[in-house]
Amino acid sequence: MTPMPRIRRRRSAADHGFLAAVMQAVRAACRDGNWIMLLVAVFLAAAMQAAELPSPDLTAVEPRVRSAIEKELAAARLEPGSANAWGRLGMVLQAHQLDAEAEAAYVEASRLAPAGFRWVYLRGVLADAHDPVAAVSLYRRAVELDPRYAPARVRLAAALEKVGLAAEADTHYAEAARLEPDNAVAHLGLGRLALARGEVDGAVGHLERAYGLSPETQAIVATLARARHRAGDRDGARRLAQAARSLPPMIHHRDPRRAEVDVLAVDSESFLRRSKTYRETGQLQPSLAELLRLLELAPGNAQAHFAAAGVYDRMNRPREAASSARRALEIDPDLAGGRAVLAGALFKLGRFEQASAEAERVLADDPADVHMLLVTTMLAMRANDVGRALERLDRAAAAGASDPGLRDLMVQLQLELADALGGAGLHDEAGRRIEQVIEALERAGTAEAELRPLRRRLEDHRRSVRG
Amino acid sequence: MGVRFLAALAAPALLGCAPAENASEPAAPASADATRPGSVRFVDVTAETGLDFVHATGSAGSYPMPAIMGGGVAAFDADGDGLLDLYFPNAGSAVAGDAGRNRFYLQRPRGRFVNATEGSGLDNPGHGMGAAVGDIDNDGDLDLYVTNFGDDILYRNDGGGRFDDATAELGLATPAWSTSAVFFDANLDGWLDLYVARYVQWNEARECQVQGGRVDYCGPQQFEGEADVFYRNDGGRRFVDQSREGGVSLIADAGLGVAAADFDDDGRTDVYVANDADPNQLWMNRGEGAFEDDAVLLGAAYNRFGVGEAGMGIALGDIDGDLDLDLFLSHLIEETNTLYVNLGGAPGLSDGFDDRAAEAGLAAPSTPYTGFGTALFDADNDGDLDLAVVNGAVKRRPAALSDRDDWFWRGYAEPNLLMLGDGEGAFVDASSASGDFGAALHVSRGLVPFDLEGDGDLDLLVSNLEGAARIYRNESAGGSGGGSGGWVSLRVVDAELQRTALGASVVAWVGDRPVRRLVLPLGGYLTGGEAPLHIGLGDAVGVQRFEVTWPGGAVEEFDGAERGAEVVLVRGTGR
Repeated sequence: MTPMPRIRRRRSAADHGFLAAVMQAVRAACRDGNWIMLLVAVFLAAAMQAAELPSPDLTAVEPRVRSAIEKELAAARLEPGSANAWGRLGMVLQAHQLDAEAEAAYVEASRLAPAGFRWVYLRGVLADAHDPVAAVSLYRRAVELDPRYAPARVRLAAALEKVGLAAEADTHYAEAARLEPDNAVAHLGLGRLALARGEVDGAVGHLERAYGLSPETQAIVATLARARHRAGDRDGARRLAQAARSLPPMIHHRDPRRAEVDVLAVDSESFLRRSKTYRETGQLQPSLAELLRLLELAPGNAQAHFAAAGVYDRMNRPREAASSARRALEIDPDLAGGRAVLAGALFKLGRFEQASAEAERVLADDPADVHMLLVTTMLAMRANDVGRALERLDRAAAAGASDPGLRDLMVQLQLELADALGGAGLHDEAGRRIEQVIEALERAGTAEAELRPLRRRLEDHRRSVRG
Repeated sequence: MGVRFLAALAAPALLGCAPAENASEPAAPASADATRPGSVRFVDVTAETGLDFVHATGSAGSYPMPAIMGGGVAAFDADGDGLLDLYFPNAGSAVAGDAGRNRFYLQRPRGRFVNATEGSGLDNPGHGMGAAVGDIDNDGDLDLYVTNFGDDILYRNDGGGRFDDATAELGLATPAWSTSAVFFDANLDGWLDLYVARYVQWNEARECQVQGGRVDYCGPQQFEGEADVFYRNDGGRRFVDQSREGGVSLIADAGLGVAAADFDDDGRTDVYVANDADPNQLWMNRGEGAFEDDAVLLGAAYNRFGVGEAGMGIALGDIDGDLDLDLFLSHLIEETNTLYVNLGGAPGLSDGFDDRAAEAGLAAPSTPYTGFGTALFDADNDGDLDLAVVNGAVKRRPAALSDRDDWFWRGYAEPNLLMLGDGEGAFVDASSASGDFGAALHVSRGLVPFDLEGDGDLDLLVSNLEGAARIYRNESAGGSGGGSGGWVSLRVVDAELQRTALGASVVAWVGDRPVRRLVLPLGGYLTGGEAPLHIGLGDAVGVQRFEVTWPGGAVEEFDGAERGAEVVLVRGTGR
């Protein structure tokens, strides 16, 4: 168990007399204009006030995490009067979720540099997670110190929403949008608050703006779907709602001050988390870079190899994907999903027999693995084994695909098989498959315009059946 | 069975169902004192009740994910004596030895629980999670569906509190990791169908770390979600898996909580699923067992910020007196619990929901804790719904709140929340003044409000992980102005089906004030069961009349009742 942070000032009750004497000296120096004495007195006061260093429990942490934290502890020990040293210590503690200790370090940094925006702001971010009322107070102070930093306005507004102060939140979102007209989160906030007030048209306007700036953000797409639904555009809303499901869940505050904390995290989970965040937002190169950095530090991390295989696959680099997947499976033969990634990569490399063998191994364990059923469908189609392809595809359809990518692939394969069946004169079966596709796409909220060509193809097959 | 069912109905009907002569007295407006912290106090009376169940995870020192997610409970009248009996799923003998066996307690006599596991047929050796309760064959007794990490089990009741495993016979084999489940009549054919929420495809080889490398339980994001299952009840003889046809297998998310109710007043029961770190689903019932997820469109998938949260437990009720069904979800530490206020709309054309947790005063008190079991109930009988949430962390807290002896679980224990409602959508945090309920520090999961002593106020049963289940007696002072007011207790039944009319809606006219309550199974988190409806009356002398909307939409009116009455409203016997 992590103990309570042991943070206290070095000064004890017995120091009060000395402190009073120092303060008296400061006042006298100011009055007399004795600047040397003033400096000495201020230095003495600062040194005496320095807080004790936090003592986080580092017994179970990874060695490189311990090393990073101990480095900053040493720096703060060396320069107890340096706000930057305390602030950096707070950042590295925060990066590793040692929040109570980080809070104590930020408090000291703020005490040493009361006009410094950064430490108050990061304290606000820490408080935001568990005490929105305290966060509001800290963010307000941060905004006073730097009124032009838009991310602080956005975070203050969100914290105000959490404590039910919507009207004040609205003014800060508006100011953030004025400071940064392309701040999608600010426009999202304005739209959300307008929707809550029942101002549907105004909400749609703000949310369309946010959507234009950041169309891949789940929160924006989902909120716009709600607004359009309330505005009566039920079909458009349903399409957006469907799209929202497959988008990454996080919303990205463009917040350089907060990002400086994130990059200090050197534990394995943090590398994997950052990589995932990049991957989900389509930033494949930085995603890969995080994994490669982790693998330099921990070459035996199966999860990192597996994640790298997935990123390589998305980058259409099947050779590296296969290699990474193999390495992951060498380290952990039971790694969930590893063999499926390997099978997919081998398929892309044209190593069909190996791909088939790996896919069948996966299916032996899980006969309803849709990804592998689709891979084996493609393998059967390549081998012109229509019967097997149909059997595998039907099994995949019966299992149902929740992943949009797999759903698209299933639709594509259904249509290809329908073509093949139609070409062989089996129009009834071809039509049945196209019907299934239309039904699936309708359920997914696909627009009628996109379905029209499929309906025409279906009618062609039906005409052929009628003779 | 049928004779026993009707006999059970008759007793309270004869005792207290006479129409109230003075029931037209207007209801007193909710007193300001009624939301005063300290007006509701609970005392731990577990020892007095004889309940000695202690949950065992069998896993201290290691971090298997199923260990931190289980611990549900079922409360239902298993033997037809009119008293609620209890069933506790446990981690199973394979994981925790004899201490991990599920336990069954009969309430006999009122207020006392007797371990009746031996010979009950309920000694399921699986890794238990939760349970759902319903009369699957309309024979007048309640059957029990136990969700497991592993294959689920359906226990069929012989009517006397003895059960047999009918899982295979009824086609209910549900593999993988099931969590909450609910019985409801999806297609209005009179037979209770079943929805089972399922969680993730956990891989025990995956080790998860926090705080720079300290090992802890994994979160759901580390694994693929598991699609839920919907079974259609085919005449009580067999359940048919209609997940694909019904549309629910299209989504594979980490399901934890589930509730079935008619959210858009179109006469059909919909299903809401709380997902852990995934958007929630609101499966709107389109008839004939077909569902469509409208949670995103209707504003019930994400929180106000458009972010999916760690949905655990669900509570349903009309928190603001506008006669529609609002929705409350308990969530993870550092998230807020969420109150989705129903915006109304025409039947079948819902305007959706708005997250108003902050405005209601429910957000800030919840952020330091991880909420699981939750219930909206009238704690002080003032006529307004109050809210209880039982908490317990899923990641070790940086600083333990509890000083219990076992170091491992100490870091997961958290206090519970009691929030008093004003009937207009606002709540006051009364946790610290709520006595033992708010002071207790456990790793809590299940929560059931029920009237232990038949004294007309609702007591609380809490199931805890790796610890003893607790019963907290409601000791609110009698009388007006912040104490316990009057009440009526209701059972709403369809005699033809020989069971509770799940899905029915009751409007009780308390003076000129309509109070709406729905006839729903017990729910929350991993919790199932059936208990009488409870309506607080404040200072009113009774209910003027009842208006029941039966599943399918037929409306019937019944005479009112005096305060303190235990009323049975039987379909077809009203006007």
